[in-house]
Amino acid sequence: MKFNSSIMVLLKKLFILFFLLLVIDFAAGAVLKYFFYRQKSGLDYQTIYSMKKSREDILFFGSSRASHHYVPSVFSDEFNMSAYNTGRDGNFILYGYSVAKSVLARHTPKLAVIDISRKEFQRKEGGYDYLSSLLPFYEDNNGIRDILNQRSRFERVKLFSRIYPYNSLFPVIALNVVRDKSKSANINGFIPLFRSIDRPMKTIETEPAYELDTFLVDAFRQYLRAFKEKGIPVAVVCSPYYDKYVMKDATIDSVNEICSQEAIPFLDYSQDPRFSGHQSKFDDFHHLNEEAAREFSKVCSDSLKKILF
Amino acid sequence: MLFNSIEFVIFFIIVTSLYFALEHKYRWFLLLAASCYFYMAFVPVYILILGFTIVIDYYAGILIEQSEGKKRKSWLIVSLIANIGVLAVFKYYNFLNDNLTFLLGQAGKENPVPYLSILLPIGLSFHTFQAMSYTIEVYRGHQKAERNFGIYALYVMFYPQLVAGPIERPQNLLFQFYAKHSFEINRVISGLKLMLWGFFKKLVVADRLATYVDAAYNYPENHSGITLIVATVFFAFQIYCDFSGYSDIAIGAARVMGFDLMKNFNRPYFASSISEFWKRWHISLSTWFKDYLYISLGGNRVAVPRMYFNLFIVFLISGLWHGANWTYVIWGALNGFYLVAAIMRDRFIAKYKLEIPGSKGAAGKSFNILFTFVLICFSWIFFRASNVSDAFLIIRKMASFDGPLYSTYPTMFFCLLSIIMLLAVEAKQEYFKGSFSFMNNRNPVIRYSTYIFLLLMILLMGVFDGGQFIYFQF
Repeated sequence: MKFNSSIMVLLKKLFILFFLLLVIDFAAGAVLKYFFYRQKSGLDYQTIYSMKKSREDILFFGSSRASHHYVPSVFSDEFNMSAYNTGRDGNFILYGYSVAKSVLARHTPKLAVIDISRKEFQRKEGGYDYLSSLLPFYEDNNGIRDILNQRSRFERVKLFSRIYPYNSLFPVIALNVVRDKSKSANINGFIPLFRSIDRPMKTIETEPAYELDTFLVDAFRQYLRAFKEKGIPVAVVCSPYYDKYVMKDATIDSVNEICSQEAIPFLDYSQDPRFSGHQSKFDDFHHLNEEAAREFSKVCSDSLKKILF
Repeated sequence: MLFNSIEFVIFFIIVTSLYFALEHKYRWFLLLAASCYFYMAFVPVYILILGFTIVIDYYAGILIEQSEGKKRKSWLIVSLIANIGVLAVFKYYNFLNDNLTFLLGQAGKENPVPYLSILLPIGLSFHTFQAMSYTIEVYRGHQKAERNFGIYALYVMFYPQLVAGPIERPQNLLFQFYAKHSFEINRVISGLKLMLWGFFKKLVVADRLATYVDAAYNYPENHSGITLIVATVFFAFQIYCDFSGYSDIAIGAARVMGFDLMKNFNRPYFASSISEFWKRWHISLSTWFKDYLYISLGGNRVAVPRMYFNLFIVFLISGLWHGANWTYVIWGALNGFYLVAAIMRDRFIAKYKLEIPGSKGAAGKSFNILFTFVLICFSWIFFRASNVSDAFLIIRKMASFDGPLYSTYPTMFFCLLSIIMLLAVEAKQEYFKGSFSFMNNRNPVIRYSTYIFLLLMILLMGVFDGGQFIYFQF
């Protein structure tokens, strides 16, 4: 009897606690959502723009290597079309695919360029963690839910909380709501880097073999098909790396194979001697600096024009 | 299964509910099965290693009790060899082999001994030490040998403290498995509160600070001296909150079911001397080394130089316990040196009845706390650095005290806010005991507001991805 009454008291206390938590979570989540979409600058602003507002003719997709390597104005001049770079630091294939799905649901660009990195399809623990940048879009965007649910077994459970999608974001939102867009380094999505690397090029003879993540490989194929089905010319590019890689990379091999199966051009500049090994052209061993990004954009746009148009 | 996972929350709710729903006589079996499941969630096959030492120690305990004289000691040695042997193979074999390769390389020879491709079983050092404390206590006559194999297995495997402690003593834990724990609401709530605070420390403070620390310590060559100083201070709080957060969750989870586990941390960064720090830091391990190694070496009953030597050896081994790397050995040696130097200084002051100006009063105590913290932070450099050369590179860079601070606004905001919240709570507990309490306030509005605040902070500021408890590797 005493046991039962104690249990009931505990359950009552827990019910009150979770009811209050639910109410506050709902209210705080609504406030965060309101301000999230009112950001005027920053990476989230760029993602919001890419997913919900971009209407440019040429769109670039990818990670930091896309964001720092493709200068939209160079492509605009070459193709006489508007261009926007949706690439985002630390975000890889599933991010690009999610952005592409959101764009294609409301807009048909005239050209899509997907930047791909070495090891991008590597299976690794916590490999989908970076998708947290898309969690604020989960509620309103059915198209990306399946991808976001890959983050963890209990992602759906976590997303009962309205503030969880904005985890770690509130100081960023607060800053970007008040910060002027003109203060941002972002130029149509392109974020320039300005340093030069200060170490000599390494020749990487061997790297440990890794397992390909079949979900990522399948997603990449779907990604390409999403453009093809809408008749949008699409090209896949591996932009330059500073170091020399002797070994072939399983991701690049897989990309090559899928692109040839899907009849989509794949341009591999990863070891292009015009860039690789040039200290003055790299900000770090994965990223070109601004001047080299312009040069690379010119090289890339020339090639794409010849191949696609 | 990590404590900071939804899987654990579900597991905890199911096991606790079943525990109270079952009759007392079946509860130990439920806890044993749950502990096996918990352990097997990491690498299932490793339960065989645990099973091996459990069987050896179980029979060793009985045989020690039944034997006399040398035989009694022989069975203890069998148990110790089995436990230390497992540690040696799984934790230290490749480290020793690395050193052999280096030494043979210096002589221009190749090392013929093959490397083992094995993962370190989760929490190996913790449950091995807990198992050893059982056979040592039986040998010393402080504990009767456990006759119920299942209860003994549960003593080693009790899931809340299985993979990261506290390292319990048989006198404190074994009898609790026989005691009937009724559902006591105040106890349950107290356990849940401790778990909530543990989750806050782990998710909001430790894992947040880890994002900065990892960035700096994984690539020290790319960072300035200022950045590395900040990263070292952050690491001091990271490792504290990681480990003590885990301990709080473990103690809280056990308390909900009616078990009392020993306190493992007591606000160590408020210690005003190195010896006080070690009475407040990882108490279950410090006392283990004191009871089973330091005292066995002669303790305080030997000549003073020998006592200093014993202390130094204990810390050296404690360093090695933390990891198979020279960085941990240096960390242990450094702390041993600190402690020996502090004792020598205290003896010198006592002998000559010296008065150190400004050493008393609030200012003196504050200075001592800060000085102790700086010394401990310096030793953490070796603990966190990937290797010895990185550690010295970091020290050289820190000494130059220059360069820009690597910082992004949100990272620094979260890191500083989390440390401030932690210190505010701990300073209140340290200096204003018994005064106003948030979590235990009689006013339910204040109490519930505190719970909700902590839960909201976890949801808003907690790091949910990729976090691993640092101490799992030990």
